[in-house]
Amino acid sequence: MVEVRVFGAQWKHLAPRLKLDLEGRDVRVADLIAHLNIDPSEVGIVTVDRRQSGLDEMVPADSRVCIFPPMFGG
Amino acid sequence: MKTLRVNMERLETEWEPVSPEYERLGGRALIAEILLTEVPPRCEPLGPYNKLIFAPGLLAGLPSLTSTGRLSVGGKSPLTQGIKEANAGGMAGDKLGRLGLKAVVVEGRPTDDKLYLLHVTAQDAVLLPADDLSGLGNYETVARLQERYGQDVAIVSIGPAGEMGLAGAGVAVTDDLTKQPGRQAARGGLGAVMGSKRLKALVIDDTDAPPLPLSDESLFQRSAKRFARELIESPKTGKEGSMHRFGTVAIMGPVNEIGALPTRNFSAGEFEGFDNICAARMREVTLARGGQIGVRCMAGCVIRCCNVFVDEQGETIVSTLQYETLGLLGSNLGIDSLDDIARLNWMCNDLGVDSIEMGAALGLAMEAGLAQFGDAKSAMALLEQVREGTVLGRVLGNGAAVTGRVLGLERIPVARGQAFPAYDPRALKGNGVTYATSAMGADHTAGNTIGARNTVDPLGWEGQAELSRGLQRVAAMLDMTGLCLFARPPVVADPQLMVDMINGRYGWGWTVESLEQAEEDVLRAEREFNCRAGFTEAHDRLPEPFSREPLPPHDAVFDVPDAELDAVSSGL
Repeated sequence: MVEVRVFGAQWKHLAPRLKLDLEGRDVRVADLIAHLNIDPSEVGIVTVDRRQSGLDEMVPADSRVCIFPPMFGG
Repeated sequence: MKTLRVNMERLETEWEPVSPEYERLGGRALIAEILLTEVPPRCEPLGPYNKLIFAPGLLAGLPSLTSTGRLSVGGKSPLTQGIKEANAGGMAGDKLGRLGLKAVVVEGRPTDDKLYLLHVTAQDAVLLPADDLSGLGNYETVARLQERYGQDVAIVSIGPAGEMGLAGAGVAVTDDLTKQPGRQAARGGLGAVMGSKRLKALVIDDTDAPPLPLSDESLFQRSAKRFARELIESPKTGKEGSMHRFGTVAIMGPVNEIGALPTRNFSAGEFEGFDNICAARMREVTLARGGQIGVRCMAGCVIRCCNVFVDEQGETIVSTLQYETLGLLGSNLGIDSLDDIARLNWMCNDLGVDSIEMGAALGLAMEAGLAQFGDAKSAMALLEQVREGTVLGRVLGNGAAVTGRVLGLERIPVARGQAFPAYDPRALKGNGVTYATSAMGADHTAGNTIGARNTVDPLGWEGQAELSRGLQRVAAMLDMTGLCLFARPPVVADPQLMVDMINGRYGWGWTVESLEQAEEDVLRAEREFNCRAGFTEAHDRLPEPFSREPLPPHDAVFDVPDAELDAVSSGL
């Protein structure tokens, strides 16, 4: 199971925390975002297991994915 | 345009035309050039030869232009001993711009120990006695001055920390909505420089100021309109964006997640109390209590990222509660109560000390055992010692570096003597490069790499030098024009837009290359000042413990090679 945490206010159709069963499939971050019906242009930072991740990187089984909208530091 | 010279020794003010060398400079760029030209780099920062400069950006004072009214404050820093520019939103930058002022340059110091205030109007600028404000906090100072001058003036002031000459002292600026001194040009101890000049406050009244001329009104209005529209439509800065809905605290989520959130004096990068102080919690609490989210600090700002944080009775505690403060006075002290952090924030604002510097100093005090991590009451008691001017209070008020040394600690989170902001450089190495190489020292506004480009891994060292250098240039562009850091997407995506706004205002015929050259010139002038002040490549490093002591949860250390750091510096 992959734990997904969604931050921000853009994605009202999603619960802030959810679990997804990837059933052993190889899934990229971009695939996961598409599966969640999130517009990639609305995504700012993604982390996988606490490391910042690109959209083409793989999502390991039993990982934690956090999706953040675009934002600034400061 | 004109410059206002304020001689504190003779207690005289003088309007002078802008010299040709300064004509195309504004904000941080003008400060760098004035300091390089007029201030001995090795002077004592709190002595008579330093100058304190208030400079709005090139685009200040134009009602049809959003988010460009930040006020730059500069001088030689008593904290870093180098050049310093700190800027704040609020009302003052636009009002000085509207008065046609390039800068207010405060020189010398009085022969007596009396306090003064500077009253600036379209017709006059006078120094007035201000001993009745001696020792007052910023809030009471502003209340008294508003009684005298009304609510529509902008007030720039210092609190007791500035009067005492403490190197952690900042300069407070009233904001547009609450009219409170909640905006701070906090960093680098410029409040102490203001205190050394015995200048308690500036009162800026732009009533009767004529509209600023536009060289090409059509070009300017077209560009300004496009700039505002792109901000409103941006997923970052529009009404549905994180900045408007949550404010700067939104960034706490990814910073905590990547393990870079300062926790208990930078000993960990994730905070177990995160859920109690995160963006969602703060929005929920604020709205449930009748506070405000989406508040502006500058007139006409379309982003509106500020807030009014209130207590359970709906009474204002502080406005605005920001990410850096939540990081340094919250997780860095092990405090997970928004109410407590907001009260500590108010105390810092009132004392006139930088909440980042004080948060780092208090974290060190807690590590040394002067209080327990998580003990907000003890943190408040320590802050009260700053107000009382006790020996310990003065140690804390002089910032993290002094506090750490006095208390015999090793892990002191500073670069060039200035406390790290709320990004641990071991887990966000691009920021570590900025802290080490920027003439400003550890400064989150000098080139913040969080989420800047997804192609650079925050935990790796590769690519960080180039990333930081590029962002340091962007920061210079923002700070010379008076643009808010958060308003940068349209002009970063298309620098011609910024060029058009400048040309529309002044008719200088700038190109994108001119703008880039101006950015480089700022960084070079600042570096040159610091070189003349005695800084060398040896100063372009972070304290050694951060290269050795692993930071949980990634056990990261700051391992950017020296050659990479030197490449950033030599490229400036």
